Amino acid sequence: MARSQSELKEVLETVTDAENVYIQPPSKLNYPCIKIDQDRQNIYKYADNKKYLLRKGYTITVISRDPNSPIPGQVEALAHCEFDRRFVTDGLYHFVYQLFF
Amino acid sequence: MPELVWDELDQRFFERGVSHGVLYTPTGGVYGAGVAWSGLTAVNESPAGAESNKQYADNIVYVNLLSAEEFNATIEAFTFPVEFLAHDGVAKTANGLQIGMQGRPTFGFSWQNLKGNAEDEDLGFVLNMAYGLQASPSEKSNATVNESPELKQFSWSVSSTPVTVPGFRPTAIARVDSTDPDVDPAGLEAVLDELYGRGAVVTPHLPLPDEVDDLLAVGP
Repeated sequence: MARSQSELKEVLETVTDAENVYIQPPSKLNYPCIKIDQDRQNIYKYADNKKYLLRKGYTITVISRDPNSPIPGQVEALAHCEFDRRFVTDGLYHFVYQLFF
Repeated sequence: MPELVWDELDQRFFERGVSHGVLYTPTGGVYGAGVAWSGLTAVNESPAGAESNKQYADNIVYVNLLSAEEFNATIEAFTFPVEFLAHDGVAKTANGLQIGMQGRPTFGFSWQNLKGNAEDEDLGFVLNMAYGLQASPSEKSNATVNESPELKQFSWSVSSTPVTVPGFRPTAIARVDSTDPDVDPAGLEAVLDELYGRGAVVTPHLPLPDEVDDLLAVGP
């Protein structure tokens, strides 16, 4: 009914320049990278008294040392993706998006 | 006479949901070739008629005549069976071209509502069977994909031509309540067999109201 995190990882690896896309990030990250967290509320569409369609809610975080990295724009171009916030920590630029997949 | 009691748990009935939609195409007066209608989101009944027409005489309401009743409804769904195209005014060529604004032949339709009470929300169901329906053109909204997943919602307004029922007035709607003590479960199963093509029934079809009553009486 909904596509898996692995499929989302494949999509992000295909449509962005990020070489490091993590579902389970290692202790030491390689930058630039994209982190996938399935921590948003899912969207359901109901029909026939059932959950007819499920789209899982994800937080997608792009982390880069380059404030002008093209990767955030490539992520934002995906359908059902919306910019959430941006912040800087330890010289690393974080671009956070909400995505339904 | 026992004292009246309100709101006992097993008497707190309610209905909800919609499912088990089936489309039937009539051929020679027989509603046959039933196909499952998936993605059903709503069936909104909007009966009309039975309007008051008071006749006055001797300075009083002499008689109150009611006009004939009509069954109308709106069917809403995320999708529809390809067989419904013909009933939605679409003709299809051998090459797959769909040509709109064609005729709109009648069809039959059945669906179920869940019925429960305060003790058991899945107590049973209400089986609805509608006859002589015709779908009218309706708005179809085509909107862009955006940040929030949305599906195209189809909607059809349907009107009806009642079918004859021996001993009763013609009707376009008939129902069976599985929780009704007058309904024999074996008879209801026989009706469901006919509707859904279960068991020995080869082709799902929609029996006419008097045929449904016969099935309820004798069972399989």
